[in-house]
Amino acid sequence: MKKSYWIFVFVLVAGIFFVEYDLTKRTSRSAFVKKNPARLIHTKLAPATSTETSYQDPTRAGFDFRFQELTNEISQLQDDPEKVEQRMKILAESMTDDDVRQLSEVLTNKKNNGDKRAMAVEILSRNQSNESLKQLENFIRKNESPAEKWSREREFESVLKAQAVEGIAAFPQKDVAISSLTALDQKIEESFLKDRIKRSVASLKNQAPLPEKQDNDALEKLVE
Amino acid sequence: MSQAMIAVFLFFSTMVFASSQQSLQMPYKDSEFTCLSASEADKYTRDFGVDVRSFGGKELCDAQVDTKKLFNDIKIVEGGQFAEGQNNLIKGFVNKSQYYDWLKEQTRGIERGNDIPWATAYNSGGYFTMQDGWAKLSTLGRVGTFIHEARHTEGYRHISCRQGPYQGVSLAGCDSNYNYGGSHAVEMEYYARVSVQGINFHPVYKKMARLMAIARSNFVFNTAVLQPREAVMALSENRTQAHVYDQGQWFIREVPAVEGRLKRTSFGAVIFNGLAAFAIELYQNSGFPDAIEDTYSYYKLMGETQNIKDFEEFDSGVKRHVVKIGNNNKLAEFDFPQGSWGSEKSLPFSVAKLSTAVPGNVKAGLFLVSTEGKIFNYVPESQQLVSQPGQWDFSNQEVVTFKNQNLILRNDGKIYVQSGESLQPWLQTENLYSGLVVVPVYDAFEVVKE
Repeated sequence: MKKSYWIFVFVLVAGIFFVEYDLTKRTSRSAFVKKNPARLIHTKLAPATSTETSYQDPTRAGFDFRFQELTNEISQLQDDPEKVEQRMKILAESMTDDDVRQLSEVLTNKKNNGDKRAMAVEILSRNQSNESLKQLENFIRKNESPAEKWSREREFESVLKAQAVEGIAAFPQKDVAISSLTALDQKIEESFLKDRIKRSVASLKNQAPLPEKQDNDALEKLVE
Repeated sequence: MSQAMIAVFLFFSTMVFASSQQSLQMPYKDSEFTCLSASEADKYTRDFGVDVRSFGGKELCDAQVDTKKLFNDIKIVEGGQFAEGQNNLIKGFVNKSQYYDWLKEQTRGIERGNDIPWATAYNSGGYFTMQDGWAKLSTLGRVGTFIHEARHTEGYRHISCRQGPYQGVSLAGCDSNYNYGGSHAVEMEYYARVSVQGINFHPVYKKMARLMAIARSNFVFNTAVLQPREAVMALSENRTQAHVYDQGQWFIREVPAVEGRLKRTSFGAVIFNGLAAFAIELYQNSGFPDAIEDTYSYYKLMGETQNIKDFEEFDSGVKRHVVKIGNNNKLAEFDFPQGSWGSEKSLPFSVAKLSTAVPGNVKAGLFLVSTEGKIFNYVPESQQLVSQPGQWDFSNQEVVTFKNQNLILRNDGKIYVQSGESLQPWLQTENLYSGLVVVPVYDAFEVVKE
């Protein structure tokens, strides 16, 4: 009887230690972030790193830090892309106007890594505030220097702007989106972007399917 | 025994508590989430002959180091999954389940350098050198570049660009078309697969793949792969209806009851009377005969400008141009970035009309026809007028290009298609018309594989 008693005590203590260890391991990341704000400043929009984080509470880690973590994920395969969508949504919805402006700087700075800029467009697009709309418009309106020769980097600018056009088109108020895109159409000269704008406007006016659908229908014909 | 029961109860309670704590969380990221294992890195280094030192040394975690960028790219190629398509007999240029093996086969070595700074990367006999431009690209751009370079190992080379942004560049940078299956096509095929069939890619990676494929389809092929769809619109002789020919069928659309010339716009078509433009609804009939001033197309750029003789928009290279000819016989072009008209330039002849096509030439552009019938091509890049051979036949009311053919509306009200030197009635249409344009339709793309 006494022997079995001590076996159970041992199992209980071992179990508690195991669970405690596991919990500590999982929560130490956010605890670290919470207790060391100075570290956050240090990692402000830092380049891609493998730094750990937790997403359970969006208010517990700095915006920059979480943005960088999301950016790092672009270069990783995803077992559950839905969860990635959810994380991007949470971050976009937690943004302040200051965050939006800061993200706009990330987007427009061509020295930044391509993934970081693509994620910046994505998060701005999902934020859907007046401030983010303004920043996306400014980005699209910014014409490239005529002196800049075409290259993959230049093509990437067009793709980012096309991504921003879709972001504006997804704005919840259709009339605002149409008005914004129509005004942009008269400020840009690149045929590809004009085509993207026209497709978005046609879709918003229920005259055509979403441009995303049009694209994939066409691309499907190439790979089928 | 009861103490033992309590112990077991406490143990399971603790486990349940821990489990409930976990279920409240969003999926957390493991500390090793973005790190590669040493064995993976060694395998990639071996399989692709990576000169690790030139990339900044062996790095398993920090994506700031170029080695890790390359390893990330290879891992995406290795683990990227694609859903089965509807037609499994068509394998494409590269078998979608064998990207890793194919890349390995085409790659004898990879190093990092910056000896050709204007290039993103280059392939010399199967040895790839990734330049600074490569390191700045997005992950998708880097993977696309890798696949692109690998195709060169199989002997596919580029030719000079005849259209798009690289036209006029001294180096050969384009492929003739998609079916050639060159580096651009293989790269585009990968983007298309990621977008359409990709299973485990990041949503932003997929979105960028879709947009990159659409953009590059117009940038790097001499025959654009995905072209805007176009329809023919003809104004009935009594000017009460517009007949639209789209995808082999005719539709009838309402026309505003105003005098003027049928003109193409970036959003469809308008009736333009020199002072204002009135929209023709391309997609539906409203049932209301009221003339609605066009607010979407460039005709609103005219603003307060009065007495315009003609107005036209057209593409040249990758740019859209809008030109107006005033009754004072001066030409001006709209400056989109500035949002205003450029300076007016006097023309050395009196302009009778503008046309976006001339008989015998299916290449779109802007042509000025003088009152004497001389034809001049306006070159927006140099803002010069280039005299064209031949005379304008004034019995040609309108000339347009549709599906690589010239359609001509003659003064007899009939539409003809030009076949060599002769004209044949187009589609045996019995109707008589007073206007003819080709309009863009934004509900799908024309896919041109040839």
